[in-house]
Amino acid sequence: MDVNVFLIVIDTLRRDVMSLYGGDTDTPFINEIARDGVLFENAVSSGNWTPTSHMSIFSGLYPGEHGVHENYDEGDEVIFKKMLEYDGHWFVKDLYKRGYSNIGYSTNPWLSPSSMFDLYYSSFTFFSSEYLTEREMEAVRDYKKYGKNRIDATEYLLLHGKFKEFSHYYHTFRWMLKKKREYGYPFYKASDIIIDNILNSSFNEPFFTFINFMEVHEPSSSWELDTDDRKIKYNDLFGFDVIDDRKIKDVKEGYRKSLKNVDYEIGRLVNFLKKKKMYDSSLIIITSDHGQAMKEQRKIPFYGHGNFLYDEIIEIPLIVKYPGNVKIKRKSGYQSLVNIKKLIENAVDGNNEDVLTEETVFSEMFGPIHNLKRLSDEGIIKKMDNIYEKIIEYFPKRKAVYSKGFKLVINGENGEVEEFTFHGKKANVSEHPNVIKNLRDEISIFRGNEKFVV
Amino acid sequence: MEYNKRVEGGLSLNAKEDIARVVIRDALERYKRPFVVWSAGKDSMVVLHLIKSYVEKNNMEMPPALFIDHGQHYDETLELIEKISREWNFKVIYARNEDALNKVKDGKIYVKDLDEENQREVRKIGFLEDYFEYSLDTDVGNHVLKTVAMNNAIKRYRIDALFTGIRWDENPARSWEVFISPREEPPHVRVHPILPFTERNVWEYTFKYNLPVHPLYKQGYRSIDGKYDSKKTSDKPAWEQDLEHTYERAGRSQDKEGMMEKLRRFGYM
Repeated sequence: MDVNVFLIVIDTLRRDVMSLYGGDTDTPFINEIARDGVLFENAVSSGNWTPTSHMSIFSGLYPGEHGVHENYDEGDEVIFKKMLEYDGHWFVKDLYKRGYSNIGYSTNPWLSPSSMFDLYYSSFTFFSSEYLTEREMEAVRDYKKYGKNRIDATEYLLLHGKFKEFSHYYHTFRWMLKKKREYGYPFYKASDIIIDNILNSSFNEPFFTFINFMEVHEPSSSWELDTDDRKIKYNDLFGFDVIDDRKIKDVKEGYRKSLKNVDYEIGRLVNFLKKKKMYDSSLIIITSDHGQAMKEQRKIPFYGHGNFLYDEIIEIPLIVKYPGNVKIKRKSGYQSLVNIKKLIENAVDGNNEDVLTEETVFSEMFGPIHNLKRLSDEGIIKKMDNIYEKIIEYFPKRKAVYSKGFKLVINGENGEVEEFTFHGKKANVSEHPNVIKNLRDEISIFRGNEKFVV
Repeated sequence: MEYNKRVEGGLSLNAKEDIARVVIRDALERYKRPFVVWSAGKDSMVVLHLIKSYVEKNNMEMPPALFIDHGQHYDETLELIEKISREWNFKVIYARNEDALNKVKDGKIYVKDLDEENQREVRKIGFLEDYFEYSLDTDVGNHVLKTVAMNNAIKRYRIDALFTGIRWDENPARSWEVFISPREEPPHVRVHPILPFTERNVWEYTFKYNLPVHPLYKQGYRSIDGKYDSKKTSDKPAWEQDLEHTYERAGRSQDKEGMMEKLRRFGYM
């Protein structure tokens, strides 16, 4: 019998916040899936932001192999073009050929019809959560024009007969308040609409359902709302306008609340599947495309994702509930996003062995994820004359390798070791010459023909 | 055994070298993670040298070599591998089927002892007995000890292009091979730069560029692999034998009736 498949990507979710992985945020509904399935403890994302990682999930290839990645000059500006040009392995296509009905839901603009991400889906729904946030931001900004506070502004609008405007703001704010009350955070990212949609769908079996939830993706707190996120991140990183601890505290709080909210929505989905008697027989994969740095103590502290290969950016959760709720035997090692394709292909063939785990896995980046030259020239971030030097200094090509408890990150511009840890704790390079040599060899083989100093 | 060799007899060695360089350039430009299958034998030595000259000239990285270690190599082979890779400064990956090699009992490998993947491979090529000899004399031994080891390395190191030193005139099963040949399982391409080289051309190239020569060739072996399945064809050095009118791989059991063709169907070179 053909297996139904759910692939749920909780965008930007780092694994260490989840209680399943020893963190302080409990996710009772995801825990329930983990109880019926297998918790993979060492999953690493192949890239550090949405496009590179999602391309890896769907193609089974590392960013350097599928080619959709940032570079020093153009950052995100070339990504849509590269996504449109990509013409390689794609498991959604294979499922389609097998007669699967593919259904996709996304609130992430990278995963939308603009990048032709909807190809080979019988139905692909993109909710522009960014648009909703923008609309809220606009309303907040505009309203300030009419008075220094809410009461003043309301008085002004009513006294000047601007009833239509008043009505618009009234409804917008009321709606925001409702969401805030419901979820405890001010940003609506449409996860409830996605689940509503699924609950109201009829299913053509076998099917594959892909969901990308943007809930835990920034903005996570209200101070981020008024400003371009690139301005916030890079001015902080270069030390021009530092994000203080209080703001980071707000971020962490918002992030946790958002995770609770996604968890709740996943719970609704699980209940529905149980009721429809589709839960037990389905393959359900819950993972993330990358984590989120929140100014942890690093050589360059950073808020956001992309740009670095810190643990908090590339170590992700991975929970797999196999069809029939079988508990498969896990191999020891690491799981990479590039093996999700194989997991799905094997499961639809009725084979449930551990194809996710490998002895050695990698993560790679090819520069900053934004075009910093343009951001600097246009004054979106503080103007810098030596921008290319800064790019090479802060965002060189990097590759990380994980093997036997060790993690090594190499700067591909000068071959220097940027990070060397053993089970997450800083390790001494001079004490482990053989480990360093072996891991360098792994990276140099992985690099292949690429110009990357090891 | 006699057959009509496919011999490219009109082109000069220089022209064949040029062809090889074009094939190498095309593969290195298009594929990201190339490897060279290297056994320290005469053919793969030529391929390795052609690639080395090309990457040095173009300031590129030397691809790593893949040495298929079936556990029955001559000591001389292992020494040569070590020595040349050190002198020429490139990495060698030893592809071994550890599970199968660990399960050898009194010269036999019992299928039930093997792990799931190896059992699948044994059945895939149609072997239904309980055990097979730890030998390269049989198709099952060859497949498990060499092809499976090689395929696992292709997967493990995500190799997308694998250079090998096969030639048209060696064996009927290789005589219709093309320069760059896509493979499905695992997905990669095989790159064959010296297809048109004859056995004579290989020796000409070896002496022209003064390449290291495996000592066994001097003792009369013409084709070298495992120490139990390679036999001398004469007492004369390989290059002094009648290369054009006798069969190069007469000393190799792989070339028994139809075996090479079957092995290649399941991923062999």
